[in-house]
Amino acid sequence: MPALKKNALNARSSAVMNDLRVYSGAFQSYAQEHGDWPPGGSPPGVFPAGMEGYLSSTNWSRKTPIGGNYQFATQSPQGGGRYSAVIIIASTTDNPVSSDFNQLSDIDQKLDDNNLATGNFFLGYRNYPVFVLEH
Amino acid sequence: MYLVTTSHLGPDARRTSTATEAKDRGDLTSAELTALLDAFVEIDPADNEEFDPHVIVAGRGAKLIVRTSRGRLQVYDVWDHAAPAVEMTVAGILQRLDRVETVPPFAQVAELPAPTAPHRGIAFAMLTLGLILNGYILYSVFYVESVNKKVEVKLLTDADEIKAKEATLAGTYATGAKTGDRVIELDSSGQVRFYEVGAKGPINDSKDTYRIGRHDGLLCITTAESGVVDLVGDTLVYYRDVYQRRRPSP
Repeated sequence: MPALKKNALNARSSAVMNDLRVYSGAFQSYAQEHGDWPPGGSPPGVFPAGMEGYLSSTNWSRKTPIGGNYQFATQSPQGGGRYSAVIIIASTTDNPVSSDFNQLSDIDQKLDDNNLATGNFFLGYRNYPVFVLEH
Repeated sequence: MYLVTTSHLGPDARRTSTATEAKDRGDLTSAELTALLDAFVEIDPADNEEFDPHVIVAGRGAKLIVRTSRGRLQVYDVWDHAAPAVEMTVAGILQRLDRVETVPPFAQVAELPAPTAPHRGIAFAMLTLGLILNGYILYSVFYVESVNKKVEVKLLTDADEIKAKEATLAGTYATGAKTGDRVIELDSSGQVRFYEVGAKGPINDSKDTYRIGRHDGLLCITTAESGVVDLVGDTLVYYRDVYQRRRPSP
């Protein structure tokens, strides 16, 4: 059973990492073509304005593998700093983000610096996972 | 004394009897049993073949079925069905019936070591180990270490102090006024609202209740579902972000 749990945790981590890579690539493409990030201010799960043609609306709107929904934000205050562009995995009504330390640490270990307080993947507002596109 | 029953045997045991299938002859002495078996061994071979006469005799050490064949006695042990017939003399049969100490039919059982304390101890240890292992597996599967650590807050109890603090704290606090900034609104009745400045108005809007207390010497508000907000001077600190108080427009 612990092995099954570990496998499930790995699978969720891989799915989140894949989503973040795909989405960050799409936002980077937009930024290169337009010289700036798309406007933020959309709620979690709501397709970011201007990203048509860069992102799949269906994929963005669905529940993430660790619960919650993806949210793109600009000039976002997180953990005492302010970030130009981030992807947040935020809780929505009846769809909370996982607060499992092992799950989130596993993602951080594979994606970043294995520290949930620092780096490009960390826990910000309400311990929601934050993936930094630009500091 | 030996308890004797005969089957298909006449009174003198020299002839077969069709009328009497089984006859209880009661307790016989060794001499009486010897005489009966000596007579039984001389039974007519043809009758013997047809009616299968036999003697069942129980002594202190055994219960035997005795048949005869060609002037010899064939002995079967009632308590050991798997054992083959053994040819024995009358004297041997008597000796076998009296042999109490050895008790061959149960010898195998008697030779088995009795359960001892060490065996029970090992069984108990294995059971305990199994239970611990199962407990660990269940714990591993279902235990989730949360990133949301509970902060021990000591609530204010003085009603006047609480009322005064609530009145002082009531207001709007924000990280800024641009899209992406976040706002916390406290009112003086213990209600708190969290939201983010969105492109088209507030997003991630949630309401909660709060109470005032202290942790680690710091004044704070603790909410029902949204965690703890520290009060530092005239600002709020929530998940390390500083929320400045918004002054009402003149």
